[in-house]
Amino acid sequence: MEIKNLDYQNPKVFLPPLPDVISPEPINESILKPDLWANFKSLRCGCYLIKLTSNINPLLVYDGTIRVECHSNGLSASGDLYRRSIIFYPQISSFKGKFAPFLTPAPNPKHGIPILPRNRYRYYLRVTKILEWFTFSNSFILSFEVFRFKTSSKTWTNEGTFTAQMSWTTAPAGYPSKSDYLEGDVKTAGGKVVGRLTMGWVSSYLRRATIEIDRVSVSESPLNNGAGINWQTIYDQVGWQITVIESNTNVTEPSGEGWSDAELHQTMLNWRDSADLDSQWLYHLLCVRLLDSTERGIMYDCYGGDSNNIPREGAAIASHWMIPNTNKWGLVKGMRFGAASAPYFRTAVHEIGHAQMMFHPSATTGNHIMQVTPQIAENAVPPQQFPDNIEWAFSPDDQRLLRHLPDVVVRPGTVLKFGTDVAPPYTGIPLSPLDLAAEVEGLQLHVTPLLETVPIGAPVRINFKLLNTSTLPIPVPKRLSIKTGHVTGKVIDSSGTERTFSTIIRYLDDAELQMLEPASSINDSLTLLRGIDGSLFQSPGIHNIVITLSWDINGYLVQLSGNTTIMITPPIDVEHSKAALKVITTPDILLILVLGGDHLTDGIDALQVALKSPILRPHFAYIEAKRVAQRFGKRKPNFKAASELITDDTIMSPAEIKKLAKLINKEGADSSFAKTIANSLKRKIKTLDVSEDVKKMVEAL
Amino acid sequence: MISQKERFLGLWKKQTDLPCSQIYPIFIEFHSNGLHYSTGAKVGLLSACDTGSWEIINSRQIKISTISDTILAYKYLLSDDEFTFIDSQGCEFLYQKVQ
Repeated sequence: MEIKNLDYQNPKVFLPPLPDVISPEPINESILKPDLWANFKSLRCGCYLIKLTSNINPLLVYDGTIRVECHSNGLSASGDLYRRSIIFYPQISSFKGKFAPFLTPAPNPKHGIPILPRNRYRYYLRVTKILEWFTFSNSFILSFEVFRFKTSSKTWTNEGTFTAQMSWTTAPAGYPSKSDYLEGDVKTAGGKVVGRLTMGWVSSYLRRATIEIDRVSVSESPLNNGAGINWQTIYDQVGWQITVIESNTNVTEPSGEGWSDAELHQTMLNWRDSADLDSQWLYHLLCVRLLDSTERGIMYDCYGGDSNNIPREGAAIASHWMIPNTNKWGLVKGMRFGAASAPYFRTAVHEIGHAQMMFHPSATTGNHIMQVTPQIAENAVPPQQFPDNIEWAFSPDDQRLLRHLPDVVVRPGTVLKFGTDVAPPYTGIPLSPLDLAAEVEGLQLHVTPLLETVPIGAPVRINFKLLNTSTLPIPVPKRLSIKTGHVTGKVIDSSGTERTFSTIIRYLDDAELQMLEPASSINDSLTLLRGIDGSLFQSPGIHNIVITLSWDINGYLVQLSGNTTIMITPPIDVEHSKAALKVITTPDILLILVLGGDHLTDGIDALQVALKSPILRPHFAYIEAKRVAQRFGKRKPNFKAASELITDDTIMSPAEIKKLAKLINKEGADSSFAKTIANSLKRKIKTLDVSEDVKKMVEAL
Repeated sequence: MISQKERFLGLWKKQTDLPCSQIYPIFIEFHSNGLHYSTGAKVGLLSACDTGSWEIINSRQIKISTISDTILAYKYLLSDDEFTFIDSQGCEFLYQKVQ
């Protein structure tokens, strides 16, 4: 790391990316001789106290941690650095008034995971290479990307990749394990030595925090779920060491049984045991009878509820909220919340999860900690009843975030505000794959463009095929349409700008899996136009399109990616140029593509402009045909208009051919215009690589 | 006669881009089970809705839970395929039904 004169002016990311899974390299079996085993070394999982010293200025020292997470798919590691303070003492031998700088003491490894002052936070380390299994030598190469955090702008700057040849040596006094200590010189990508790194193992946990529980006398303390699950049980799964302090049990009610957000915040300030968030990560939980602004629980320390402008210090739950007396609430219906140990405790963990910058999930599936309680009650499938269906764990996504997000994001009382500075889905972060994401052996994703060159302004159609090359059936989603949420992706233009895409509407019932037999495949297509960052194809040139499929198999996220390249060609003439501009600048055209309808007038206007351009018309004709061939309100399907749009020149993906065939079957199989369309589709499938089911459907028209 | 709650069911898209409305989701989907799903609030601002509960209080007010589990009340004006929200700060923003 170049520890001087760094350029912090042009931050490129909002939050740094999390560490990749570092997949193990194959082991050469010839080296597995018994006599060698006596000498092998491996990296212990857990938290390491680290120190980085500049070789330019010995007073420039950073302390922090590296978190090494071991799991079945490899290792993930991340770290944080805080700059050591300097104090000035008078020099004994010098003239009066002269002072010499001294470093303040280093964190003591005897105290385990260090807690360092928030205002000294400087860097997040994204570890990209680390020792996988073991080595017979005494060292390994550690590589990491360094992200500088600028407090004033709350931005992150990637300052490059650094490496260190880390060698084992005997730990200095104070470390709990003499043999788990390493040192190495830190080098830039160019090989220049810029500092020295030490790392010594201090804990099998990754992080540590304290939860102080204060309550009014009639409210219960949410210590466990009544069936053996407590705070530490849940946080063990994310590597957090949790100390629970049952503190005040007689907090006074400021204005009766109901508490405003302001009263909750003031009571936290008045009653908590310590306000020193630089020596402990203290989350405060207040248990009261009722909450004015909600029912079960709240992380009030944000927005208007954060009167001291120190975010995410506390949360509260309501013991006297009455659970509705309806069947949805299962075994606890009609009960007082505090008397229903399981959901009461779950809500307490959920609210503290918010204080740790965790958010509600975007899916209705999953009954994990950050799911909203009514959804979990809704999700109960008889004979199981709520709250027996609660999952006593954070979701795999949240587990990864809790382990590896930067300290300043998850610890309480930093400058980063819940929802305001950080919000789901942590947009702007070039997130690396999830550390529990598994690639299933034998599955391949082939991605191909329908057209390799596409005029600017036109949608880009991509075909993809999921193929099972193994000898066993593999569970895969029943449908791969983008609307299922299984398909996401990004487009990278020739300047390197990435634009992501995903569904704008979730089809909530599409989480079902099917078994994909050996040598079988499923095909689908995407029609890409816009993503969350606007038009995906804004300029002429080569574009790389990456498609990622992801789904859940028994709690494990499976991911698979494939990519292809297309060329966007420049405008041919003024008419094409104007039409392309209209399409690129009209967000609602995406809704026309997805939903159809007659009501999104901006989108329809842009579509009509595109259809008037001879260059763009073949690319948009299907979108308009689908729209008019669907009934909308009192308007009947217009197959006459649709048939004029579907010609041999109309560009359609296999999925679009299938959709139109379905529409004809549903709405107008007997109409002569529908038959004209059907004949066009029959000619199209002869020129395209379409699956058997599409062929059958079209041929049956 | 269709109830007020039934009229809210479905997917709505925000039509307003006023600065004060940018903290609210672009899409919000009201389900009959009392839950809503929302997406698309701009980055760096309050994603006022994500997944949570909703309930009609009366013909002019609706309660919706937020990302921090607060339940906020909004005034609304509902027509056939549009509704206008008015938040506690007086910010008015329009949603149009898309599905």
